[in-house]
Amino acid sequence: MIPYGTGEALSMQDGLRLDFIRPFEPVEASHVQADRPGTRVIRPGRSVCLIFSAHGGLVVEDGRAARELQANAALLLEPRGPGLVRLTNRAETDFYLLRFRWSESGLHAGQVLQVPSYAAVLRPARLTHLLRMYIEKAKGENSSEPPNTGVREDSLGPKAVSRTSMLMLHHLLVLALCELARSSQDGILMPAREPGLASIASRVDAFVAAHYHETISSPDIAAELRYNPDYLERAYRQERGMSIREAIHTRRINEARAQLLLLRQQGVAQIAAMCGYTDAGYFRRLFKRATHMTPHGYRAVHPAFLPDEAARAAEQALQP
Amino acid sequence: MIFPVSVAIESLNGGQFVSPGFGSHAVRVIDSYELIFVTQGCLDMFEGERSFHLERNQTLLLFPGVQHGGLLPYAPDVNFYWVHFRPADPGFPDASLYVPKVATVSDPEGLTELFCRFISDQESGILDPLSAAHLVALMLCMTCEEGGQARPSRSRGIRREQESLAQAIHRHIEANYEKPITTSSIALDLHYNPDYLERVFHSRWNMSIIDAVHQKRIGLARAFLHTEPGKNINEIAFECGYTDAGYFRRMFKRLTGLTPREFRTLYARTHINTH
Repeated sequence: MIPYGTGEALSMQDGLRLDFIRPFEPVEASHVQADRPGTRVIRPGRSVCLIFSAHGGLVVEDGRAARELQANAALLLEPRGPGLVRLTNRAETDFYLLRFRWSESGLHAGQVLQVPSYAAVLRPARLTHLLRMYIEKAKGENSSEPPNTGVREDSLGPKAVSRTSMLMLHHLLVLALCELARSSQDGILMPAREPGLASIASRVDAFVAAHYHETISSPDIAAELRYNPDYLERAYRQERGMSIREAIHTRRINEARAQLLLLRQQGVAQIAAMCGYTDAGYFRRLFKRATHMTPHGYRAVHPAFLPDEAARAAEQALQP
Repeated sequence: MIFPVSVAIESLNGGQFVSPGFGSHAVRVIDSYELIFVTQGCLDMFEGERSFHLERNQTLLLFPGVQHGGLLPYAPDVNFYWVHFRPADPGFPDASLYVPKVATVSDPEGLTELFCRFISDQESGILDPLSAAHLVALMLCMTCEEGGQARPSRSRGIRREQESLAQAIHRHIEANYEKPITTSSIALDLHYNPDYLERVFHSRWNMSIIDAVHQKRIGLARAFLHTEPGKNINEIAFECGYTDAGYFRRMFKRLTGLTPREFRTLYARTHINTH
């Protein structure tokens, strides 16, 4: 075996080359925070404009129509040759403006992404985060924090952007467009439940996943996550349809099932201990209730899927 | 509007591994590539004839068809993200990316956030293949990025002693940003006039000293918001060097565009595996 080494010691030819089609070219990326009403005129030319209002509102006039853009709404303007676009913002407005070119050359059998020209953005925080990353990357080497005046603006063209950054900009833009496309599907893809509860339940799940092998209980989790135990229990049940205690057992039994098959030389009591059960008899009863099989029976009906040698290696790795 | 796109990657599933303190990575052969990103502890793996020792903020790219597995039992504190993918035929490419086998990531928070985004949508069942492919492509781009966050100067005519002073300020910030430091306290510690210090720093890093301090602090806060679900926002503010939580919130919003709470609930769901 080649001795231990970190990345620096390895030659570059070990990597993976990935090829992309990049039908995109960035033109401008700005974040405008305006305290007072104001107007700006842009000349889109051959570029597409994406305008997203994060706070406040603005009016976008493009010669044919004027559109009002409320907070958390986004607008896509197609390239329109020589015409001008006028953006008039109200006081206390916070918006993002991206301009880019999109060419179709080189794209033959690819897919198409259909994006509405106007969207009430479903997940504005997600979009904001993507646009922030985009602007950060577009800034490239010319990073500067603008002075803290009435109007703050970060904007830069494609100059001084490295090739990797260029690819990243492309991927970030497609993600932002996907986020807009998602908004047009009327939320059918979004879970309809209260988001706060989903987040709480998921934090409980994450805690259980990380600590199932320790002695944990529902009040412990509540203390750790700083919730009232009764509230946490209620919220969890509403979201997941089971108690936290049941969720802990489910997780432990599922882990036990995996460990029983992965570590075939270990006794049932040891597996039970690894999964947080100090009483092997109790573990057997719960296992049987969940799987309708004893731990030994479960092993018997699932023959070894690892080659013997690898299994032994894994066993040996466990020995201190 | 319709945008023609090409997908260079087919992404499969992803997740976060949290060490249970025992066991080791299964020995196996898979039919896809796997990117592993260690966020805590060390991970020792082998692939074919080679062994890899990964530390925090390092990534490893595993290839399909080659046996890989754990070399040592999982350390009790190891924590990593993983995602499986396959390259797809993009047609007639005009750009390529060279993904290194092992890399040290220059923006670990950014990469962690991409993984969180991927996993959260995957677990909610709303991850479409196009977004998934571009998220994985973005993760791979991040393993190729060079250099740290400190960007080189624009100005050419900076003298050597000023350069070393700018570096000294930078190091001072790196070491002390969790404490309540200000430009004048740094000036006092380094025995320089605050205005001169500010000028030298600005000409080198193109930002003010206090902005650099805020950037470090908010970066730390972002990491805490994801890794410490039990901490409330006032505590995080305090641990990041802010004594006034309201001020922290304003700075956070200014630098990230989101409130700390919005940022925390950005990725509500996670997928954790322990073997």
